[in-house]
Amino acid sequence: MQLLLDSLIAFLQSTGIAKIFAATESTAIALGGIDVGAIIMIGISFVLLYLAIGKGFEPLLLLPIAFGMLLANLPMSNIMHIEYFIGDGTDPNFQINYGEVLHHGGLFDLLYMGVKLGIYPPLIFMGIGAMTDFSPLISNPKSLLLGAAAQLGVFVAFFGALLLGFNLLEAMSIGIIGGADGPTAILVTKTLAPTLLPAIAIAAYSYMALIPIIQPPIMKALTTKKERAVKMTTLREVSKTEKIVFPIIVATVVILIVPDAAPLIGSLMLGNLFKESGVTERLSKTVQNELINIITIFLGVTVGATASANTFLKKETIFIIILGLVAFCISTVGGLLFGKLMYYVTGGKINPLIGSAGVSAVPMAARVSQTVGQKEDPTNFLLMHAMGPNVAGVIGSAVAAGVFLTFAKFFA
Amino acid sequence: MENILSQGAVIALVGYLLVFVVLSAIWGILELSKKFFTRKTDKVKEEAITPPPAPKAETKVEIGEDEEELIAVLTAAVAASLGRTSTYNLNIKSYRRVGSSSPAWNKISRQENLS
Repeated sequence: MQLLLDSLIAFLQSTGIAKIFAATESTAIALGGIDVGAIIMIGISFVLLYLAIGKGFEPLLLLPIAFGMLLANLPMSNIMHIEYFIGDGTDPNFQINYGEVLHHGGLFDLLYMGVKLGIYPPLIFMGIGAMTDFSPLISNPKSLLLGAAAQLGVFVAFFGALLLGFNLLEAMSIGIIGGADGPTAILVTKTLAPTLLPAIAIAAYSYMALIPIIQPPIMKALTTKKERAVKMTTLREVSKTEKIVFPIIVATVVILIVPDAAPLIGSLMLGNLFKESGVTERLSKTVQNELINIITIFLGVTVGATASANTFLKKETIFIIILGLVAFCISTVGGLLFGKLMYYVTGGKINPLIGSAGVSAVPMAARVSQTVGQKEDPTNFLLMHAMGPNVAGVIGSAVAAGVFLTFAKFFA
Repeated sequence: MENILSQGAVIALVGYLLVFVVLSAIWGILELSKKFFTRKTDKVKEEAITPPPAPKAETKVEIGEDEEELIAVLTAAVAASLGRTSTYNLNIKSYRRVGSSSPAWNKISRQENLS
């Protein structure tokens, strides 16, 4: 009888429920022995799951992120050992012991190495490259400038983060949220400020889903009725040779000037060349379907799993959420103002609304330009014109990331 | 703190400028290459494009009797691919055979996608 009782107690003590009510010093946020941190994190993961499934916010990424977060925060699940990668989160010079990860790590620890070593974001970019049609940009290369202008939010949010007391490297990672590009933000953050990774990834993907709500008020406020009604001339047709040469030119030019952008731009353009060359149809099909899907699953669950109460439930997370929103808004403003400049320079040939599409969230931002334009004049079709700055924004944010990674080496 | 802020201001300014420089460089090269490549490819382009069958177009068709069956087949094919329309709404204006230059592997892959 005693044996039965003992084994029952032993079993109960090994459950996660017992662990929640017996928080030790190792858990950061505990109240009267109850692990409040874990409970809040599980709650947040439920909210994110609702946003992904119920509201359809970037579900392909938010759902795996939220579920990874849930699994990692259920006590005793031991599915992810974030301490292998960031130590206790306070030492910026923490060296990862990969031997330990390989010997003792679980499923998510091993998958997370793909994030930590910067393998997943470039592979995702390869898929994006194979899915992207750069012809609106090739036929109207001026839109590259709009893609550059819309990186304004990146640098303003970076400066804002410094003002709020973040260090240089953290501020760079926060700023890159304004590039509106998930893989880029993840690549920069995992290199410069790994402890902020979950907060930044979640902020970046949530705001991308909110672009149709964030952008239109700014667009209406900054443009006049007349500007919004501008109809642009039809884009010229782009030859196959131009489409093939484009990725080769872009990769060469960008990587020569900003070598640190090589993994992102190189993969993006390789994927695009798979698509446009016409001789590697099978490879193109793989990178834009199977490969990108597999990597998205790995990336999502592991990034979510790094969100532990210790690293996530801090006032910094709230700052990141606010700065992320600021970054998105200012990027929109930057693109719009440059669009207005081009409107004046070209004598009213360019509709400034396509400027806001310079934030790289493809194709949402371009669709927003189309919608806002059509509200002014239902016969106006801006979508293809807006796709130019939109895909230029992808290149722009990758360049901005490269610039940050380069500066990080000099200043930090 | 002030030191970090002044560093930050420099990074932000130079960084934003650099993004412009890089993208402008691509713009410049694209403009140059446009002149170079479009001239060369014009002829190829004309041959490669199928004249799209014009639905509901009013046409004066001049066709030989032996071509009627072919036109009927083409009309049916266009109607089938457009879905929800009848062959009465279509008129084939002209047609031309387009040579295929894609290798056998690509064709197989395309068929896999279609089926």
